[in-house]
Amino acid sequence: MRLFDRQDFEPAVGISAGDARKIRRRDLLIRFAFGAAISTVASLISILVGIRAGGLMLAFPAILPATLTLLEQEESKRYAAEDDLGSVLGAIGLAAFAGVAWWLIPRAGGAVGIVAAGLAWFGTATGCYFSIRALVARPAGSGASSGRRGGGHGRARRRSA
Amino acid sequence: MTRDVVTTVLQAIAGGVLVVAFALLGEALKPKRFAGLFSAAPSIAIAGLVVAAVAGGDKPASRAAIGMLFGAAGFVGFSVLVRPLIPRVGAVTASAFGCGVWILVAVGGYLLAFK
Repeated sequence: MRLFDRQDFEPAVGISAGDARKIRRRDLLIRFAFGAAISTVASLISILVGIRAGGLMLAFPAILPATLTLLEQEESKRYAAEDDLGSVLGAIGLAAFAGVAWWLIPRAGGAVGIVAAGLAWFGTATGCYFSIRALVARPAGSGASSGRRGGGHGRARRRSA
Repeated sequence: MTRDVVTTVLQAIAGGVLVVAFALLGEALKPKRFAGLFSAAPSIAIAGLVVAAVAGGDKPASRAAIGMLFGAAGFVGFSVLVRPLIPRVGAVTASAFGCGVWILVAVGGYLLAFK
C-alpha cells in the first residue's frame, strides 16, 4: 500500500453535525477513558521523573489505537487505514505544536504560547493535507480524475447518510 | 502532595474532555482522510500544558513541550508504520507494533538527547 493513493484522495472537505451525533455513548466513554488515563500517566511521570519526561506522554497516540479499532470493527480495515493516513499529517502538526509551545511560552506567556501552538498544529496539518492533495491530484487534471474518485464520494455519502 | 493530586485529577478530566471534543469534530468532518488529522489533535497536549502553566508557570510548560517534541516524532513513526500494517494484521496488532515504534523513537530519542 502506497502512503498516498491518488484514487482515494477525495476532493471535498466538509462538516456534517449529524455524523457527530451518530457516535455511540459507549465509544465516547472509551475515548474519554483513554484520554484521562494517558493524561494521568503524563502527570504522574511529570511528578515522579520530571516535567520534561512527562512531556513525552503529551504526544502519545492516546486515542488513535482505540479509534482505529472502532473503525475497523464498524467499517473496514481500509477505512481505518485511511484514518491513520490523516493522522500522519496530524502528527507532523503535533511536532509544530510542540516546537511553537517550547519557543513561545517563555517569551509570550502560557496563554499566547498555547493558543499559537494550537494554530500551528492546525495550520501545519491542514497545510500538509491540502499541499499533498494538490500534488497527487495534479497528474489527474486531464479529465480522468473526476471519474476515478467515484469510490471516495461513495464513502462520503455513506458517512453522511 | 495535595497539589499533585489536584493537578493530576484536573489534567485527567481536561484530557478526557478534549479527546472527546476532538473525536466529535473528527467524526463530523469528511472525507475520512481529512478527519484523520484530528486523530492526532493536541488534545492531551493542550490539557497538559494548560495545567502545567497554571500550576507551575511558563517555564515548566516550556520544558514539557521539549519532551513533547520527541513524543511527536514517535507519533509520526507510529502512524507511518500502522498504515500499511492494518490491512495485513488488523488495527489491534498494528497499533501494538506502532506503540513499540513510538517507545523506540520517542523514549529512545529522549534518552539519547538528555541522558
